Amino acid sequence: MNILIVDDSKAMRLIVRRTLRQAGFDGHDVAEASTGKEALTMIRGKTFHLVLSDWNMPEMSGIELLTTLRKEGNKVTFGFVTSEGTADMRLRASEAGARFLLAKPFSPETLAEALRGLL
Amino acid sequence: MSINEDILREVTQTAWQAMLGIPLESSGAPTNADGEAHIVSQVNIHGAWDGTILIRWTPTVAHHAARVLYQSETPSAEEVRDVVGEMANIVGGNLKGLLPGPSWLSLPIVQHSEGGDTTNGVAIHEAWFECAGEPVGVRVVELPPEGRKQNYGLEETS
Repeated sequence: MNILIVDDSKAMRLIVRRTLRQAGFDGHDVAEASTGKEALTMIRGKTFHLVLSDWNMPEMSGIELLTTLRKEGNKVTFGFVTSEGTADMRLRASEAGARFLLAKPFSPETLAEALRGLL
Repeated sequence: MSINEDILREVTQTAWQAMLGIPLESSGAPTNADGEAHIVSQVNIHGAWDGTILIRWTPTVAHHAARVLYQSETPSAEEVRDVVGEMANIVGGNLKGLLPGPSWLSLPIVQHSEGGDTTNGVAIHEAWFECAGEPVGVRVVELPPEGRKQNYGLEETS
């Protein structure tokens, strides 16, 4: 399956990729985008089965990326991995069509739990 | 729940362990902490509460964190900036939820200082740690009311 990690931090993309592996999700094709705009271009050009996105990014935020995808009719499974996990953000994420919101820091166990049944 | 020094320590050490996997031991404040060259990574919070969450790194410990994360003996300056900025983002994002809201979190800002504390505002909480034999400080700085009108260039996140 094709997984896309979206985060403006290279360090965070590396951590998400590492945690995916530690959670037992190795063997998938994992790609990276450093901005929401770059992710949008990649998703328009290729089928992804899961998008793991940061929320707070320059140019296009994660919630803007998700909203744009849904407006275009793209129903890719989408989850947030972000430094904030307030009730308001979780509600906004859910209403926009996200399947989960994982607050950093997170463990392989919490990532595995969030992805249970999605991959 | 609100922020106190114990919570500040717990949030910071949890982030450190989960993201970097290296020990961060509680310690007292070093003497002349701001008098030497250091790196500050911070996020600003604007809204019902205005201020800054910042982490003070020695250049040595910042490079150590990048070396550990990237598993490289020679991380680039950009990689070092990225790691220290992301740690401020995670610690600040976690603390933001404990401060009065609604509020907005900035993108991380990383600055180098040759010495001296240039932070605008009052440190209402501070915790010091030791990592790889080097001091690491975390501060919660509240902006005075007269300073809250300035434009931070913040981006809305919630």
